[in-house]
Amino acid sequence: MKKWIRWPGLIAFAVVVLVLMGFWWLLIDSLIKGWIEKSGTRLVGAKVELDKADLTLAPLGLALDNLQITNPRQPMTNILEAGSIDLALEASHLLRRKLIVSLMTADNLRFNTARKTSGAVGPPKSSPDVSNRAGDAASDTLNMPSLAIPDVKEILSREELRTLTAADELKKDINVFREKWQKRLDQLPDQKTFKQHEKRLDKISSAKKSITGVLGKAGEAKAIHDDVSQELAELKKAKKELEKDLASLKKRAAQVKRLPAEDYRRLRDKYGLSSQGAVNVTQILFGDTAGRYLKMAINGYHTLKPLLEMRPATPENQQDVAPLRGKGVDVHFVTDDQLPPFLVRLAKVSATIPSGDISGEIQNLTPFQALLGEPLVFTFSGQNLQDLQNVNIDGVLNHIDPAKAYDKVTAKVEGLKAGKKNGHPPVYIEKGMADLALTATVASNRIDAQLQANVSSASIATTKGAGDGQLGQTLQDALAGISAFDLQADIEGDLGDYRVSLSSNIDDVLKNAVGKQLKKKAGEFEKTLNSAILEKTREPLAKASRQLSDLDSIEDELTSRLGLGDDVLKDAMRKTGLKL
Amino acid sequence: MIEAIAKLLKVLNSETEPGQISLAVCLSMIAGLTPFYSLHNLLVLLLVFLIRVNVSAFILGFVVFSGTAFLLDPLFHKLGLWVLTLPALEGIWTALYGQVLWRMEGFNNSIVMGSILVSLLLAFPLFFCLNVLIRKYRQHILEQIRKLKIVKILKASKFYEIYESATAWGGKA
Repeated sequence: MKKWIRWPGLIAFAVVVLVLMGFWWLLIDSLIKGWIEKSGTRLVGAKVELDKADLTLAPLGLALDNLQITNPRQPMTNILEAGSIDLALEASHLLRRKLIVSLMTADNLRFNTARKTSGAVGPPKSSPDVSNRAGDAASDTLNMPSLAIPDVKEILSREELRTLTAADELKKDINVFREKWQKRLDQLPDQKTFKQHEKRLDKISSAKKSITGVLGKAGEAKAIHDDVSQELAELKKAKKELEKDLASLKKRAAQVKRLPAEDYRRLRDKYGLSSQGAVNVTQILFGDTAGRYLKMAINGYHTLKPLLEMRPATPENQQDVAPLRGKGVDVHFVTDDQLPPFLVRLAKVSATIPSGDISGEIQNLTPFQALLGEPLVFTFSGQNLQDLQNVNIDGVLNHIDPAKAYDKVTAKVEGLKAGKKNGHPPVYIEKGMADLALTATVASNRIDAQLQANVSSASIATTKGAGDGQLGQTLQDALAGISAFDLQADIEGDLGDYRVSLSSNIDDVLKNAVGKQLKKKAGEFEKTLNSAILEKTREPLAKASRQLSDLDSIEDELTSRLGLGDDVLKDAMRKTGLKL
Repeated sequence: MIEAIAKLLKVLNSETEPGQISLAVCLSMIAGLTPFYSLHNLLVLLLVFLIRVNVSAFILGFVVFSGTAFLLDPLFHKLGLWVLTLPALEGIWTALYGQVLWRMEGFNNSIVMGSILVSLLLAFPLFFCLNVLIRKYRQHILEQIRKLKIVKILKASKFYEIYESATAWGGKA
């Protein structure tokens, strides 16, 4: 036994272990820094950088200095920059390879800060295809609607009238119809056919009155009768088809005659001066801003969502995961202690936003909500900021079951100084004091949000282009007189394609102000438009109508041939004296 | 490379017990095939220091097996994952998963599990096989090799100088 054991080896072992621990202690900060940067970069898809990491053993904690997380969609911008983050770690879980932070204190958080170098780690990520109908429309309709009467001639030269198109098609079809029936008439029994039958009848009448003659006469008469009957049947069938086709054409002609009225309604609605269209200032004032902020919020949500729905490997979901070389995959088992690999139980955060500093708390911060079984809850508040008196934001992000994810945010902002000295012309809010209340939920990838804003001490400015003439002046005067108003925004729909509807009592004020004048002008325009459409469509419609009337001659021809056939049939019976 | 072969030959040709060499190789296989930063490798290191195994053989074996491990990683991963996801063993793994020591060991990693299983399964047969092979080598092959002309030529070469100087690395191996 003594031969196999070398006791001095124990001392050597202890020395080696101590040396290794010494190295570990010297390098651990750099290792943690590298691990955070590497893991963070992989998780975010853009550079995550850290100035310094400092591990302390008693009490067990970690301090991080100047953490920068690049926005993967804008590599020259940090989505978040944290001045300092102190983590109080739970040692017992660390030995189980779980990073459980009992308290995280993050100070001096800043958002969307500029980077000196690009933080891209791959091809730039495109933003999800988010479109909102109100926001996009707002960008297109930033100008105030003109209150001048639209030029009817110009409208008619630009717009295609459905009446003219339909009349042309009808005329073409009438021609096709005529050609078709002309050919058909040539194939049907005509006057010449029936003359031949008459000659055959005359021949029978003059035949000998012998027994053989009488028998022959009866047989020939029967043959003529059958021929004429068959030809008459053909003619009747053709006439029936003709009547059916003709009825269809006449029905279409009647529809075409109604089209000028439809064209008028369509163009009136498009170019007409409705009070609703003329004074939809809410859209001009807020549509663009609402669309921009919403897109920003939804893009942020798309970035955040995958970070809330991660799942550690389990025996069930590990079969298809390809491991990194030399790393393998960790299989996790369900134990009584169902803590995720990473969890911040409570985070106390102070952040700097453009208006000033706000602070708040976040509970249950983990990418593995499914394991924790608790949603992320947050609350932030700020008082006496630069542009607002009070802000309170709280919410729940529940992704315990990603298929039933439910997120809710409520925000209240009081005393928000709104407005710009040099806003977008022609109408913009120069100044105002707003109280906002927002409630937004996202469930099953659908957004449903309501924003209520009450603006007081408002001043709405107008510039050139806010309207012309008397009406324009009326509009500008009405806007200048508004000192308080309410705004209601409703957002609804799929996250990739949502609808924003904005309404405000500003529009009602303006409607009342310009209503009468607008109505008179609208009347004039509608009268002119109607006359012009009728004038433009009169001749094509008349031509189509004439061509349709000409088709009656085909029917007359068929009727005439049927009459001839009947005469021949009656004649046959009379001349032969037979009752067939 | 020449130095490594020389060292191996020196160990094989020395008076060291075959068991000391075989055990060193077996321990080096466990340390080399499994991920280096694993708790069990601390135990392996303790054994290497405490038991009178041939350290040169251990170091040489460790280098060789570490290189092989990279090639065998896909196999270790598949085997480890299969074992860890066996429904019959789920109870055992779950119980171990709840214990700090085993979590520190990282047994639930597919490559750790796969490589430990392979190295432990191979360790015992390898130990006995190597013992037999080393004895046979010393009894039958060593003398014949020494008589070969090529060996005599080699003894006069630089390789032999290295071989001789290898005594200094392992001491009395």
